[in-house]
Amino acid sequence: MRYLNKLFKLILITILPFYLIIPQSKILIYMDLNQTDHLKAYGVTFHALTNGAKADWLLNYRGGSFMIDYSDNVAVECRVEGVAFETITSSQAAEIYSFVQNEDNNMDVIRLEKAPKIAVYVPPGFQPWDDAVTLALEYAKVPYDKIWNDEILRGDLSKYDWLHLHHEDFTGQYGKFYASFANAQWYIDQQINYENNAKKNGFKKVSEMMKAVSITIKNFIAQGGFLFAMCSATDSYDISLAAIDVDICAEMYDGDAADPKPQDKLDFSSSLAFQNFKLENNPYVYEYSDIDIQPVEIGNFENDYFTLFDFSAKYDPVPTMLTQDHANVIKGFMGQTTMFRRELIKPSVINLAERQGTNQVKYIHGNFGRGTFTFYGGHDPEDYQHAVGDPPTDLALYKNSPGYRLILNNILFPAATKKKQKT
Amino acid sequence: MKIRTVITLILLSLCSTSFSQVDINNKIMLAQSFEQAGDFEKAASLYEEIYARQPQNYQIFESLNRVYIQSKKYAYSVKLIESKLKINPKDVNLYGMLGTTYYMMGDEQKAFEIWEDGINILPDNHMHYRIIANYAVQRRAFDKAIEYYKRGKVISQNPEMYAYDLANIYAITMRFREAAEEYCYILNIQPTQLSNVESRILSFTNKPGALLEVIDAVENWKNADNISFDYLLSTLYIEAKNYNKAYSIYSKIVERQQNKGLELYKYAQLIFNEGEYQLAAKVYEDIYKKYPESSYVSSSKLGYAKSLEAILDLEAMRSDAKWKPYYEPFTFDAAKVYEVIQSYEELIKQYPNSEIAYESYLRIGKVFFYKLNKLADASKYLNRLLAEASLSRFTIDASWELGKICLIEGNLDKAISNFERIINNGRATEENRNNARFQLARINLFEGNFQQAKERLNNIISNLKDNTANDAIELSLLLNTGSHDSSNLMKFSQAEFLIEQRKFAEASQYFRNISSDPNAFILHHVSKIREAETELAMNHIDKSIEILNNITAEAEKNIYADKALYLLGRIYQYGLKNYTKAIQSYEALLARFPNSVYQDDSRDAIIELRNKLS
Repeated sequence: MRYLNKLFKLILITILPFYLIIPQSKILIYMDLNQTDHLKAYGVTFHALTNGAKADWLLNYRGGSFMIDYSDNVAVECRVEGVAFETITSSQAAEIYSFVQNEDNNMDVIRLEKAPKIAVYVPPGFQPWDDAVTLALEYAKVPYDKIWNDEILRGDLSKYDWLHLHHEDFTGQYGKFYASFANAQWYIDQQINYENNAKKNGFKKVSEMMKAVSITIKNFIAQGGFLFAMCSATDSYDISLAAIDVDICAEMYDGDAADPKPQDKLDFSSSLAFQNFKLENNPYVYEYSDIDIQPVEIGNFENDYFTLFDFSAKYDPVPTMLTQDHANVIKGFMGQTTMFRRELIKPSVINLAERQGTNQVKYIHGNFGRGTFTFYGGHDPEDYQHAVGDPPTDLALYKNSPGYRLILNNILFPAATKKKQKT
Repeated sequence: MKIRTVITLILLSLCSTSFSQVDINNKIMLAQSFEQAGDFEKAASLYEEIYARQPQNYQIFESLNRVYIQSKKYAYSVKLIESKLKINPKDVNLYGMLGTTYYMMGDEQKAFEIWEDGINILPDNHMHYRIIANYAVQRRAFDKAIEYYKRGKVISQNPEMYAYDLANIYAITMRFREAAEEYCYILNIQPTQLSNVESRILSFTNKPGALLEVIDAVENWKNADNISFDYLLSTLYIEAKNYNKAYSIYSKIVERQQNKGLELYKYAQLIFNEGEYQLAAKVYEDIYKKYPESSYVSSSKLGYAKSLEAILDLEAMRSDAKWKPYYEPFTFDAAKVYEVIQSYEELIKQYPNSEIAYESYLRIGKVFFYKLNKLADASKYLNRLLAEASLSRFTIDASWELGKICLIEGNLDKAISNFERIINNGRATEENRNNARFQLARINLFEGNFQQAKERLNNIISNLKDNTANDAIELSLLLNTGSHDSSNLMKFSQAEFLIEQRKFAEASQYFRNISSDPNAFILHHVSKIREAETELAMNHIDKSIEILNNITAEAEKNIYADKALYLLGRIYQYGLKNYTKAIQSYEALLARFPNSVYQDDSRDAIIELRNKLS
């Protein structure tokens, strides 16, 4: 009996430390060119977080890989979704961590803790265009809620960590589609829809409601929310903030004339990203201001590529997270708002990607209050000129899209544990 | 002298007037330029100056008012219009404009009062309601506009004009039931407006909830004396895919219109294309029974027979074992099949030497072949078609079916001549020809003529866009790799021939022999999986699972291990309905064979089965 007790103690002393000290094996979802489905890799990581797993984002390591504690469920999900991964031992994982955290390497480990709650701002009913973010979320099977003005105005944003805005016009000018689509059924329906919604929410004019929505979203950011906007939601949102105290909508948009001198009354201290821009006052011109880069400035579409900036992973983890990609020169794509004019971007805002050698900035990020905003120009990263009424892009054909990856970086970035800045 | 002086004065006066008009015209153009440039202050100043000199000029008055509104000088606009109203107190447009200014100022109540005053100038003039309603519409005050249109409709001698206005505004504001009510009102007064009303209604029935609201409204308005409502309702029922209700209405229309089944025939074709075969058969039958004199009788009889056949196909599809690589022919209810044959036979009798008769031969042949497995009967009809109508467009299909029958019967020479007939047929498409070439290559394989088989396959592979190319590549690979082991390849080709002849037990034996030969190299692997497939064809599921498990256990040593796992998944999914085990098989495939061609299908199957289980 004594012998057995001794043996039991010996086993306990020998084995227990392994369980306590040495962690279990890991799943490494590498995100370099060997990855079979970059987009779904984000979905798998997101689901792992949702199911209570902890994941690490290995910034700049093999294209910004994810390391998740091994579980059969995660492995099966990777296989079912077609996401390539490696199962690695704890010692291999330790080696990777050590390599990534080495001061000589521009890499770092970011712990992802909790899957963010995602809301996508989208009007109800038929839309004659698609939303690249919604397509990416659907493809990666990342859950999200659709919200619109009612939800925002009644304070539902507090339920979410991350809000996406896409093609909507926050200036109340219905995308300035009047000249081309005033008689199109979808345009007529859209206007009625917005007008009814404004009436329901107690506003006489749609533009007034949109201003209230813009301010509520700004408060959401100030209180720690993450805003991600694409295409015309970027500049139209910022313009609406700068134009809070001035009517910039012509008669066909809000029923009365615009202020005769709206430009003089813009308040650039209220906008998030842009300043000193000039409004496009002609209601028939399909443009809000001079923030957006015009097609003629881009020139030959075959030369339209933008370059991601390289940030210090250890000192600037946020921009590094947002620019994780397996390619750093990416094919451009157009939208109602394609790119931003660099001289009109506020100095406090970080340029994440631009067309090298030009003043054309594609991707920007900034802080406001306790939250952040990220603007990404263009409509659909895999459809160079997505026209109104075009069919949606089938992402199963673009599993490794570097342009779409930038969108998905944004949904995992709010899951990151905040680190103390090194400087 | 006096006369000269008078003439000079007149000329000077005329010149002065002319110069003055030129000056005004220039100022108007300048004002317009300022307005277009958005400099409303300068534009207003010029317009004011011109208006002071030409207060009767309505164009200048409108321009000045417009500029005031553009520069948000609403008080000026009010003052301007009121001054004009003092001169023209009965001008309803001025009331419309004044109301508009108040509306833009945000004083809606005052705007409505002014508009009401405008209407009250001549309350019996219905056009005043329309004019004021237009001003309200421009301000997007739709509720007020509806009120004015309604009042105008009551007193108007032409109420349908207001009904159109109302319907339009209701549709815009997504009040679909009310829009439909107005269109029904129009249809009730003017049945000839059907096409106009129908196209307008169909422009919004695709919006959420609209169709049901419209149908409900039209049903309430339905009038036994007005056939336009029946036409409209039938269209709406078809939109809603309520084919039975549409049919009952069409029947009534046909009875009343006495157009010998034209409407019904169109309807039958529509629902046949929608896959509503039961109802289509009934409608076709109705046509040739109720209207024996109709010119649509022959087409209806053919449609009826095709519908009956399609119903049988649908039944087979629901219970078919097509998930298996090979399977026994589906057993159809013979009575139902003979009913189909009988329908085609009647057509042959009634319309001999016509395309309808030739198509009927082909259909009967296929029915005997695929639905009754009576090869001799099938051949009889197909051969009759070839004999009677060698130029018919149906001969290609007939030759194909005959070729397949000859293969099953083991008559390779006849099979060859049938497939060659397709290749030589001038009406055959390239796809038809390549399909026939592929069958000839297979026949070469069955005969042991491997070299010729390879040559034929190479011809097909030269066009990779052809649908047959994949099959050709697969067979070509087998021939190339197996050519070093001609005795086993011969056995293998015989086994394949037996599969073609649906002799699965004998084929299985052949495959077992080859797979037990360790020197058979690649044929060893193929034969093992074929053995499992033929056992499965005979519904020997346990045996099949056992063989597949053996293949799976061989792992990388057997090039078909991934296929075996996939087939196991299919057996559990469709054969045994054991979804958990099916998922396990598919998951094992994903884990063990990450480069397998069955990865995508397995993923889809897992997702589908998970949904079923949840």
